[in-house]
Amino acid sequence: MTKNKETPTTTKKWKGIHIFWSVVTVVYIIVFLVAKPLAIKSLQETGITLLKILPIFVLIFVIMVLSNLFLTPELVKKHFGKEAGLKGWIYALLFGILVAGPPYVLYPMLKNMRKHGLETKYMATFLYNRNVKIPLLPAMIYYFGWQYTAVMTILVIIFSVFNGLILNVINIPKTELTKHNIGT
Amino acid sequence: MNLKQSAIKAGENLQKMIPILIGVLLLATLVNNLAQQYYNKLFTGDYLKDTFIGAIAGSLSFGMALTSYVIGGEFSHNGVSLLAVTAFIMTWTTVGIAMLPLEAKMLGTKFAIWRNILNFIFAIIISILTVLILKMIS
Repeated sequence: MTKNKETPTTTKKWKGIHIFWSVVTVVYIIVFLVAKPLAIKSLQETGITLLKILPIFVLIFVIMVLSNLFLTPELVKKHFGKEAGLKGWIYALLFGILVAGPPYVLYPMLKNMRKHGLETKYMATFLYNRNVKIPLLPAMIYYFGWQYTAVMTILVIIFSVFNGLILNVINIPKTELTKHNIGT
Repeated sequence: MNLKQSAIKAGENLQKMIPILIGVLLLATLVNNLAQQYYNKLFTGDYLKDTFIGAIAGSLSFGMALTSYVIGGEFSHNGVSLLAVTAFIMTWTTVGIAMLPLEAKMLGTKFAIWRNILNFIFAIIISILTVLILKMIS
């Protein structure tokens, strides 16, 4: 009985990945036929990027293990749940600014936290504040000046809260995650 | 959950994530290379039109934020308006069309789509406000 129940789910799950990969393959075949150098360049660059990010997979794994171990539902609910209040906003702002790295490193951790009760508003605020990159501020100042950098940084922080509030109003159901069936 | 269980769970998650990430990177690199070929031909000199073009170009691009500063700096030197350059930089980091499949898979389709739409709108608003505030200051 269990086997019969599992088979359609597995087929459905793999169908999604197959459709996605079919699209990628078709796009590359078309580009290869129309603009061969562009397709080859893109394939080579993807290969180089993948080699570069191989160590990041180790980091992703470590973050996932740690988040599974320590980000308990109680802890997430307390600091990022419905009752978190002002503390939740402050944490979302600070963590968003301080946490570095590409988004795909953070998605698995956020997904895990979301299942444990992370509110949409805090997740959106956290993600938006990742645009305030402290190590890159000197580079931005070099190219555009300190006034520009200061104004834009402050606006990003302010708008991160609006971002969280609006996405919270849109009210994305947490149950949506179960449809995707990843990491359960 | 003990260490072994959480390591197994993390391994399973990673196994599911890697094929999507590779596909996303393939698409992102292609879109990025295609967009970069047309960067300099995109801007028209029209203040408002260029802002939208900058925002769209940034949305389609993918990579380190630093790269967007370098390209934005070049745009600025070539006479592209600060409004368009700001919209480009903002959407480069806040809107990820190429990363959308991965974001949707991990954080939910509705969240990913709405977040990107909202970030696109916010990028234009922040660009306008940045330029207005800078004009007021100077």
